[in-house]
Amino acid sequence: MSTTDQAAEQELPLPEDPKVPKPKPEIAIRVSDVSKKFEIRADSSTGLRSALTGFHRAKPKDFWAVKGVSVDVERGSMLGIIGRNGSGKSTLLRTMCGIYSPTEGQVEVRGRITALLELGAGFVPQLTGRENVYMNGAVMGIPRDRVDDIIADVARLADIGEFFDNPVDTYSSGMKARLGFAVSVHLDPDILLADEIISVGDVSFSKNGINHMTKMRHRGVTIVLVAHGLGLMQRLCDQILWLHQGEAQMVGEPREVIREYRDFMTMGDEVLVTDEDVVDNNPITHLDISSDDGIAAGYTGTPLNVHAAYDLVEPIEDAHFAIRFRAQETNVFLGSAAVEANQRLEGRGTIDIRIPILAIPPGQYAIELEITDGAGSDARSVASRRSRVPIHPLEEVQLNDFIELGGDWRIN
Amino acid sequence: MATENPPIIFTPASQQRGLAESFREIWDYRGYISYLTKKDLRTNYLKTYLGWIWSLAEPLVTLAIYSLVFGYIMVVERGGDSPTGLNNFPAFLFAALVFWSFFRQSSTSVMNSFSGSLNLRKKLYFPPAAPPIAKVLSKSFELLPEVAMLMVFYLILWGTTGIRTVGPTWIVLLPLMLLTMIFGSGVGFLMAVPNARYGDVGMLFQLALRLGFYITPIIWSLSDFERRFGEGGERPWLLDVVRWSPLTQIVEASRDGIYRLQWPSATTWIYLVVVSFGTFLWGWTRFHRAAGKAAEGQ
Repeated sequence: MSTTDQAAEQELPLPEDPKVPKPKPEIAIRVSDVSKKFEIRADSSTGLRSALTGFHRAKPKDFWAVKGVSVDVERGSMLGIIGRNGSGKSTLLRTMCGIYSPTEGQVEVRGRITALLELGAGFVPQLTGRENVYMNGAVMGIPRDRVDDIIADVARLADIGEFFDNPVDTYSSGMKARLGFAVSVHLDPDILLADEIISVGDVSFSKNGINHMTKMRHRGVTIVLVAHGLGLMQRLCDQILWLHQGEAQMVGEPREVIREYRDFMTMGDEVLVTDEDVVDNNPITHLDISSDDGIAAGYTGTPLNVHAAYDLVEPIEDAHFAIRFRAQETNVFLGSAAVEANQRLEGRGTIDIRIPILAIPPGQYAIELEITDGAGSDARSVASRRSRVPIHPLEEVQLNDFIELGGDWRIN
Repeated sequence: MATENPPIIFTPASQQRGLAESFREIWDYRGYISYLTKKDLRTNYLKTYLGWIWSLAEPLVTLAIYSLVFGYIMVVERGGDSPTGLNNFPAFLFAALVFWSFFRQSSTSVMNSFSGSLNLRKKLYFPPAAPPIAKVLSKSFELLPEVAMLMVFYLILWGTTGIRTVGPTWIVLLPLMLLTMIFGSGVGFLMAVPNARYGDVGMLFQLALRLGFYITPIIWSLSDFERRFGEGGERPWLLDVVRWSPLTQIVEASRDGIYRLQWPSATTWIYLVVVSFGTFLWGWTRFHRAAGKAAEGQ
């Protein structure tokens, strides 16, 4: 103990001396070129038969869930891991806490790890909440008297009242999640690995959870977080690792990685759809959307910019524009913004339309821009173009069923 | 501070544990194991009205059935009664039956609790041997009432027949229980990983147990068997198979100490210690070679 502490004391008061190199930040987790292979057996019921007869009908297929990933996590920092479902996030997390051993490479961890792969995973339904806290302590190697010290705090954070002394199988799933989270943050880990835990439970639980993670980080706890809320990840994390099909697509500064990731995800959507665009020789040559931070997608409740370009053979004397959003699932027109332009349009040019608040729910939409000559009953459709666009929930909030409509309040 | 500790390094080989390492890890998780054991003891009879009394029901019924069928209907020759003069089939049977239960419970519970723990193991790290060990401990505690019942039974016999049925040789119960548990766990550990991969293994083992019950001198006596199959008998090799089965040795040792009130031979002790610990170490090392991979679902 003495050597480390002395070193820390000596390093702290050092003045900014260019000759003395800055103390290297301590690495809490070092993932070095880690790969993880699974063997997928087509049919496990024939396993014994083929093992006994030596007759291998279906050779196990190799599946590389993680491929050559390297990342360093400094002590007290927060790493976020993003990527689509099945991109290897959870496998990597399990490799970091020793549940899976890497097929290649190695993981070096300094400090006691708590892995929250599922809230309340180790709970025994027949034991009470209190007993489960002690049991959780035992699996994390925390002595009983230490658990005695913190049990009141755990109960307070879990906020489940008298249920704390009832068997866990009487709990709702939300209560279980609260208790699971409360135990993990209070059992004082050096490293916390958390998989999608913030998204369970209600809003107050999520907020509470985020608060506690921030507090833990300030105490010097190293955190690795897998979550889907990109806004949240950008706000909390010091570093983001983006996994794609098991490989590290990008690792670095959250803002940059998330921007690239969003672009990539949106691009993927466009590649999927080609036939939605109306015939060639369309006078509207281009149609896309962007949010204010330049991402090619819309966010419910925020401004949306629509960009279009035209190339007209014949001029339009009295041009009017209309934008519609058609929900892909229901085929219902959900939004229609008519824009009165009343102007002559000829040759080539661009159209930019700004919708101040995008008040339509998240989902996949076809956006359609239509240009008509004239308005009302004698309007003649000149051109229209459709393009498929994603509308995402505003991720800071992570509420799919709430749309901020805005409005001015006047109370008399 | 945590920084004093050397880093934990997970490598491709890190699920594999050396012998010393595997035991140390179990020691580190002793707190967890004791909770698991308590949980098992608490929850097994949780929703029953009679609670742990049920753990007596099975041996009592088994004892009653076998005593009726083999003691009174078919009348098994016991091949020489106890030197004490006791001649009581239920007592003769009970002394062996307890140890058969010990073996059956420890082997199957080790085997099954490993596959039963795999789902949780995907979410929480613990040594793969922890749940089996906890299960064996809780099963052993559950068998203690049965042992107490055995004693009560013999004391009643003493009272009714006037023949002394309890003596200092009863002390063999303790080391024998321990050796049976170790042997049974070894067998369980040998099969735990194959059973997690192929459910067939568990089915086969149930059949093997049934066979084992009848080729072990539990409801019949070894001396009777020796008379018929011994020197110049019909099939001398069969005698060797039966005589040198570890289960026969356990059962005979227990009958020596409890029914015949004599000390088991030194050969028996040496044999049992070597076979029990040998089987355990064999099972344990094989288990730890493959358990990590099996826990990852492969």
